[in-house]
Amino acid sequence: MSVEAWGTGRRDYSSNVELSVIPVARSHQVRRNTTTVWDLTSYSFITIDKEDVYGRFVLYAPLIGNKDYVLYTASLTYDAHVLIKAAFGLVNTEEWVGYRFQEKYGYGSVTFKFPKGFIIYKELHPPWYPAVFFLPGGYYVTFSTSLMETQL
Amino acid sequence: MVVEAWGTGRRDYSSNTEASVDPTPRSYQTTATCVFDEHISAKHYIEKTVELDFAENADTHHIHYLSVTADANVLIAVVLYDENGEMVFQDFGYQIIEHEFPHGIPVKEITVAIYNYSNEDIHVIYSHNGVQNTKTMRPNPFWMIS
Repeated sequence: MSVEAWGTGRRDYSSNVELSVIPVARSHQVRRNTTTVWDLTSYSFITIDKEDVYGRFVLYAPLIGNKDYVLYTASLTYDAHVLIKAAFGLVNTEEWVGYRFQEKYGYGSVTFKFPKGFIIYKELHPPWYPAVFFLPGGYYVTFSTSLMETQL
Repeated sequence: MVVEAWGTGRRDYSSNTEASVDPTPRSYQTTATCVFDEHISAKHYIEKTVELDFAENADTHHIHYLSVTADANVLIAVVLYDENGEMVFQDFGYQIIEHEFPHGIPVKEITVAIYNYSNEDIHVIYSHNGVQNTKTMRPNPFWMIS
């Protein structure tokens, strides 16, 4: 595309001629929203104390690849008004150790919020997974995320 | 990558050719996070001090989001003090207290007081997230961990 010179003043030799306003990311990133439904009805836990209600589930894996991710929100909702303790973090599925980035109690739902974004670096490799853990069994769980994915 | 000269005007000697928008921080900063849980007896409160000088990182968290939740629908309160003993945040709520700081509040050390106004024992979880500076450009992802 060539732009014909007009008017007076310095010529504009910029090589990038772009539309001035495009309301979507044009660069190496893309917005992604994902929703998953987990069936935890085959799990159940004996309630002795409040803390013993919770099982540990690794319920989040699809993000690992040679890409960075920036997570903004993640929400869990149950099909019952039950007490949930949920942590979003990293889990090593071989040694079963985890780190929590954000953890909450909630009745029927928990929403993790990272207003400035939470980076999941591509240097993370299996057996480490971004995960949600400490969930009560016996219910269906819907998990939704809003995140930014870098493109190769 | 070599860019051939063309046109007229001052040459562009910039050596860094980058994708214009990279959605991850490229400078000396990374995600900051702090999580702990506590048991609080009925009509009591706890106070916990956390020094935010995790390995490989500098000593300041810029908190953008804070939440305190309880495992019962009862009245709780949270008070946050910085390293100088200055009260930077206080709030009440039933079961959940959350707050966003759009521009971040810088803290090197926090003291968190959480109050349980109910007649039952509860567990509470405190979480905050934000950014912190690092010693390397692209830190090991595990350095962010508290």
